[in-house]
Amino acid sequence: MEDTELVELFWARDESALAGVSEKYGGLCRELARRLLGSDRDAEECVSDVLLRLWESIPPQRPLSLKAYMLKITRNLTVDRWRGSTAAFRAGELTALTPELEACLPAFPSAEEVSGERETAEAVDRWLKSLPKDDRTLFLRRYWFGDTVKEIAQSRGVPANRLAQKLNRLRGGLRRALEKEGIVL
Amino acid sequence: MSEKCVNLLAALGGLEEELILEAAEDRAKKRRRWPRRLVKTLAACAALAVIGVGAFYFLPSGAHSGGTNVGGKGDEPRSFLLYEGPVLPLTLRDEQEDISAERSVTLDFTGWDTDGTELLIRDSCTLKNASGEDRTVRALYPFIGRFYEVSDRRPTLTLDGVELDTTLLAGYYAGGYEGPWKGSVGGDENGGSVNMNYPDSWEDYRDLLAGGSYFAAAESPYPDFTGVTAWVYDLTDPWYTLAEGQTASRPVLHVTVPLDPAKTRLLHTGGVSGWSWDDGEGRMRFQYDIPGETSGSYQDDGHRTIVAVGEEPGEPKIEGFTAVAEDQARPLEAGATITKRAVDLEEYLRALALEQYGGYDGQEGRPDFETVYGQFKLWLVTDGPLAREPKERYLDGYLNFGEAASLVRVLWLEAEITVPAGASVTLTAELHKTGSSDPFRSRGSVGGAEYELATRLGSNLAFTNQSATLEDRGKIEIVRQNFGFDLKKGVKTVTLTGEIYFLEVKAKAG
Repeated sequence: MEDTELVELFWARDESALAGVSEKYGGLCRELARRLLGSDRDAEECVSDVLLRLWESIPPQRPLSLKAYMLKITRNLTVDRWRGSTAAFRAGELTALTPELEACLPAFPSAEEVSGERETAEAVDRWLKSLPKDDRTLFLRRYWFGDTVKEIAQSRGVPANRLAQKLNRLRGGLRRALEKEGIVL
Repeated sequence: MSEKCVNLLAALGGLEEELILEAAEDRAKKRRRWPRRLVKTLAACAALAVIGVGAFYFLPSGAHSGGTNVGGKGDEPRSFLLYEGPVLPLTLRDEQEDISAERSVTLDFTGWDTDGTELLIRDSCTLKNASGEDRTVRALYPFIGRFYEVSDRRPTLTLDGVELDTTLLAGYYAGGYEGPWKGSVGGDENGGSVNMNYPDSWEDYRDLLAGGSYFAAAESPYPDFTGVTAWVYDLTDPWYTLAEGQTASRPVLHVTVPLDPAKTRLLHTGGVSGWSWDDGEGRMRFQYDIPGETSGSYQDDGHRTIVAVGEEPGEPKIEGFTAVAEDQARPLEAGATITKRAVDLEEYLRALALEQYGGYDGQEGRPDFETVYGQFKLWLVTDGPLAREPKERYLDGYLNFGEAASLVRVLWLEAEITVPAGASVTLTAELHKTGSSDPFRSRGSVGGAEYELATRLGSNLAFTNQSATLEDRGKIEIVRQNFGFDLKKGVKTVTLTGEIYFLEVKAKAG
């Protein structure tokens, strides 16, 4: 079952597409939302929002990888939901990630014009592509998917403290890369 | 935590998809890669293993085994995303040498365009008694469904035109579980058990019903928790007091319960907004919002319940915090009234189930409470939170009666009938069957519906003849089939000699 066929169903405004993507990727999105938000209820609501967003965005979008597209929507919606709560209702792995990401912030005066999310994402893209694959996936598993250091360590068969040190170096590396690119957050 | 940090967190959401997929693949590697067949075989072995009552409770799972026909050739049925399962043949509780059967099935498309893809099935079996004595037998008519839809799907059984009184017999969940990555790009095929893996082809039911163990398990007594002590903690009247100048964006209670996971299983019954297990400290922590002006959608009375089964856990400790986020949470003067009571687990679960079973009120033909409750308990100890190894789906405790009610299963309607000596009677089942479908149209489907008919699966009857009649009512075009119907030539009744038949149709053009 190909993503392109699912996308065609969306383009045909066939509502069975929703059941289809829910069956195929719903669990994946739910797991990500649940991990990041720390709440079953919020995760369920988030997945419903993802389906709605899919319906509204395809067409005109025609994503090549529906999986990546749905994951991105899921993550963005979870961050929005978490962010929109303005400190209230915050839970899940996102809460643990933000203090760690402080180490990635470039040291620029806050008065400067803030870079856009796309500009920042492109800079991070370039930095990630400069890394060895293991480091790249390590960073993304922790800061995109919200996997815990312990989980990653178990899956890779390496000590958690070693990964924690590596993540620390990666955060520093990202900070320097963002500073070099003139990114202001 | 600064806004800059949140901006970076949000910006990461715009990274290139290739990078996301690469990391997703790396994540998938952490899950064990077990071949589908092996997983199903292991499940079948587990189904056969009867393990005694230990720290927790284990019973046969009845999970299915074997592979599936994913693709399907032109003359074979195939798998479906939305699979409804085949129409199954009548069987008898006890095999009868002197009784033979002739079966005729009518596939009637009368209401097809007005009732979606629901097909009216009339499945008639004429039972002939060749002996010189009357035979009183227990007839079992099987159908596939979920408890919550039984009232709609329950067949009507008649004997020579007179409706029979029937009782419902339920098998366990007919499917399995799978990880979140199954079927995804670079994903693991079967690692994990967070999602349902429903049967998607007739072969799943063939393997399920083969050998009779599934039916035998359906007749086994349900778990009985009488005499098993459960520790119920009721949390009521949560409160908090702000110190001078203090604010609380989201006041929460952390309820920490020390326990040994090998001896105690801790469950919640809803209302928890977060939980964590600290195996280093041997404690489980539940997080609850304190209802109030800042508690958003949690407009309730604050009553929460935690249930522990097994050895009595340590005394729960309550702490209050001003927020959920660790970097913002400050100790808060807060508390709640906790009462602990030792209850009989059977009584507790029955009361819980009865409360939730109320949702079935008013449904004609609904399953009886004892059957649904029994399957709820069976689910608890087979896959649910009281299993030796609960499925990932239920790791955080999940005392949800509705979950068991939504599992697809094979059910039987049982009725006592008498076949006179040297004579025959005709038992007819009339039911509505929704078509299987594949909304992706990726396997040759044209967006219609498919119906399957099994001739011998799960039956101990000696069929001397089987036939099928198509009443198309001018509403359909045949897309794929192996019945042998030919609408152009007027061939609408065929003799059935194979094991499984399928008919895939779409609405007639114009």
